[in-house]
Amino acid sequence: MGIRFVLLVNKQGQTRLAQYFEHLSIDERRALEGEIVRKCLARNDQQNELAILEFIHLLVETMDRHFGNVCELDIMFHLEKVHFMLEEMVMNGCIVETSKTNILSPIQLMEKAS
Amino acid sequence: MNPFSSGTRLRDMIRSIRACKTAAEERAVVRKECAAIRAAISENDQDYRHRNLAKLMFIHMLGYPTHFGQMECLKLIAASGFPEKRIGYLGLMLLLDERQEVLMLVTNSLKQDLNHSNQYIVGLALCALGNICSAEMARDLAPEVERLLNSRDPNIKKKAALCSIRIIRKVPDLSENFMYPAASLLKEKHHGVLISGVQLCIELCKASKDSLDHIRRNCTDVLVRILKDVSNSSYAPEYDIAGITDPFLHIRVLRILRILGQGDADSSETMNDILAQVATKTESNKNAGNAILYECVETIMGIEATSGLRVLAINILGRFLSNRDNNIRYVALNILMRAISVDTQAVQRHRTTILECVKDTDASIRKRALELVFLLVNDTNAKHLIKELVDYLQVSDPDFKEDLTAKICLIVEKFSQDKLWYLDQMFKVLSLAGNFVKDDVWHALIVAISNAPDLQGYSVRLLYSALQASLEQESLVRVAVWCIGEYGEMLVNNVGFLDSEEPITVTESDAIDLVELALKRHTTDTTTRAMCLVSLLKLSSRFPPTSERVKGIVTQHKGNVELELQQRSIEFASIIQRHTGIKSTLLERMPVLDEASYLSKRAGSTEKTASGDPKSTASGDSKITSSVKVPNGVAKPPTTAAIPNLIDFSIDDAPVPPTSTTASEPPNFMMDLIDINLPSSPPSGGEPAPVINRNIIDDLLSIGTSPVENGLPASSSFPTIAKSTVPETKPAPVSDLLDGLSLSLDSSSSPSREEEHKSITAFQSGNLKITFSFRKQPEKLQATLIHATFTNLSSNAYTNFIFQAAVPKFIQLHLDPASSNTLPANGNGTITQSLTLTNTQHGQKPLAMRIRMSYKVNNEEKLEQGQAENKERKTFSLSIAFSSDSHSVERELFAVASHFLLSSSFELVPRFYKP
Repeated sequence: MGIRFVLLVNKQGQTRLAQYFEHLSIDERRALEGEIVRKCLARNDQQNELAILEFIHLLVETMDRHFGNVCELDIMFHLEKVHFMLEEMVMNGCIVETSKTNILSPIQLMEKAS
Repeated sequence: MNPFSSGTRLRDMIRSIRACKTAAEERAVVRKECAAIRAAISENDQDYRHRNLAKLMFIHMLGYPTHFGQMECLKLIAASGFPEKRIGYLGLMLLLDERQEVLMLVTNSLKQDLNHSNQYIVGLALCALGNICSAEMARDLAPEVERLLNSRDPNIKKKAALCSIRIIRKVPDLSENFMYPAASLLKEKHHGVLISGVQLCIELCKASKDSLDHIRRNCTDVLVRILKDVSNSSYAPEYDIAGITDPFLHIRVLRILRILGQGDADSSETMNDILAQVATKTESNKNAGNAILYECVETIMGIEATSGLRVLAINILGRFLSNRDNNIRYVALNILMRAISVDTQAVQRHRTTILECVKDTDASIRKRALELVFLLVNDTNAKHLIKELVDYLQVSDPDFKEDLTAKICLIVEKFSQDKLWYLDQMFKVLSLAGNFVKDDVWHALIVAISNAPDLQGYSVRLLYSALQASLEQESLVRVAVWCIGEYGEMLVNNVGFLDSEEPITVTESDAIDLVELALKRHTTDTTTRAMCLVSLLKLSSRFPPTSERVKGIVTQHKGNVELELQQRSIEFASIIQRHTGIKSTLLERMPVLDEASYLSKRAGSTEKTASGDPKSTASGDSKITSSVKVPNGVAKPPTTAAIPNLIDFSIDDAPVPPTSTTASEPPNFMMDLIDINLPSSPPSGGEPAPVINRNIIDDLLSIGTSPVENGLPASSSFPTIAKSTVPETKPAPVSDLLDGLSLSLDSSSSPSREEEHKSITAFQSGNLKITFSFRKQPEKLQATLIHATFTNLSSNAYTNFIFQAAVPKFIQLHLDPASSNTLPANGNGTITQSLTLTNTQHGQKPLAMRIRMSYKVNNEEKLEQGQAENKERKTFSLSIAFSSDSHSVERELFAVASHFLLSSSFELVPRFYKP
């Protein structure tokens, strides 16, 4: 299994974006989000941790390019856009696209349309 | 109205949620919003549907239930406009999951959208399908996805490829359909398509051996070329990360090469060159480059690489170890740990660097490095490594000392070829981190000293100096005090002086001073104090002139609050004062401790603590069950506790409890027996038994009524044979049993898959014998199929024979019809009947069953009953009673009871019946 979930959490530990690629009940999600720090520390043998780190960088850079120095409020108030970006980058736990231009083009297209 | 600007109301909601100070306030806001959304849904409001859904997504993210909005997603997906569909699909992916039935309704919309002319809508549908598709949807929509894999648009291709991954995971049978399209994806130029195609190939390789072979044969070269292209490509701004073109693609190609090269020399050979190139040419000053190197090393370790390549890989890890980034050092240690099994020598070369990592500032790196060092230790490097580790122990973080000490002790014990070295290292550890030394370690040290007569003097002098320097380390104090007590004269007289030692002068009173100091130190615990007292007592015998002083110190503890110390103090004082005659013999040096037996005991005790727990818990459980009242309202005697499951032969049962418990019980259970078995006799005062009895009997009757009431007519004209000639026990031949079973078993259970257990005599009286044979189906251990065979031992035929059984609540009973209701006399024929027992607490409680047989002999009603219970893997039990004659009942009961007592392993449980 590749990426199992993507969570954006602020410094107070409040979830600001959640996308799961495997099924978890609401209670399980709550529990997971509650102890996410511990989960982060329990690193998995099968993964290339450095690649995941790089992917997180890429996600943040993509959001930066779109919002211009992205902050918590950008994500809160444009949750759906962040979801659209994520959709272009990861699908079912696998990476789809790594070019920021390719990721953002459908979103810019939508903005123009509306 | 633009749904993506979410309208002002979504912003308002987010603002008001943000403004909440407490969780309760937040809940109130959410409740209000949810109520409004529900209202809008019931009014079928169309204008704000997308906005409501956006709000629901936010609420969902906060962890509140949003199931009521699921249908709204479907409505939005079915809408024609792109914006509605967009938000609808997003809602679908967030709010629903594959387990919900609602999802079935969306299949059709998805199918339409997959065939849509607008590529963005197709993309949306693919994305949603890829994220939430269930097995049924996968079957329905696989042809569409397969078609889209050949689409011209790269955006659709890449999404179709990832969608195929989901489909293959859900329905592995479909994987062969995707084999050829997947291989053709690898010929593309678009990186998105390539990365998705490679991931699809990885999934195919995992799904079936055939696909793996196919891809290995046809795609290895293509993949090698992709890797070559991407690693040689000049600057490509689109995919550039820190000067490297698309590290993500690099990593995925490396990963699939690992899968293809695993155990296959030919394909490994093909990729050797490119792997060497990636390993040498990738820039390692940025994380992206290191991620590629990491994956490359993993691949080299995973395939049949040349030894040169392996050394190259391990050298990369060596470089990682000196990297400034914590993450990189950490992953390097992790891979090195796995690499040890591949090439120990290559890893050994980086020993010094690894040792440096043990001294790292990051706690998890230190821990990993220590584990790695532990794996690297061998006879040749043990001394060097231990020296380094012991030196580090001096300055290490207090938190880390425990781990470090444990590992040092393990290594020292394992690799001590030289006793002096072992003792030296242990003394160092004791004085540096004695508080972290485990008991069994210092016990072993004492045993070792006791077995080394040449080194005892050396040890005691060294320990004395160490103790003089510091009294802070508990286990140092203990070992030193013990040695001073035992070998005090060696300390004072410098016996067994080694050349390497520095001479010290210790007087008798110096030794006593030090022990006294240790005894009086306020942090010393009781065990150490007790050891100090013994040590002092021994010293009083070693150095007779000090006797009075020792007595003075010892008596100070006669009023100690610790009973142990108080007792020692008083007894020791009296030894010193009054028993001078025997004192010296009494306080001789300890005999040499047997090293071998200590070590085996130590190994045993660690094993025992590891494996002993479940057993003790089990017996604890059974103790609880023993006090549980059985359905007949009489507490079972505690002996029931350990009775193994009647049928479950596989369970290793607890030992059979002593007979004495049973033996102490008889008066009670005899009372019970008579009391309960004969409701016609006055019940003993105050016992609620009769009331319960009726319930049980009701149960019994309701469960056990045999559907076959009208059987063959009774034939009573059988030749009369003297009772004594009737064989007492007629062992049920196995072949007969099997015959009987094949007749009565229903066709669904195939005998070949069942586990056959031996048959047992479940019940035997003068008139009737019942044998049970047991079967279990391996996949269903709770269920036991019992095949009962009834044999008439008397000289009269029985008619209207009915077998009934009652079981405790945790067992479910199913009775099949009996083969007949007439039982010919003298064992000339049998009735067979099948029962199925399902023990819902299988493994915790044994099977138990109360049985009752009613029949007519010469038109007189008879009743027999008993208890089938398990014991020593046999079944047993029961008494018999005839309703007509209360004298004979008592006689019978008595006979049976004494039989029970004699055959010690019985449990008696009272039975009832209706007269």
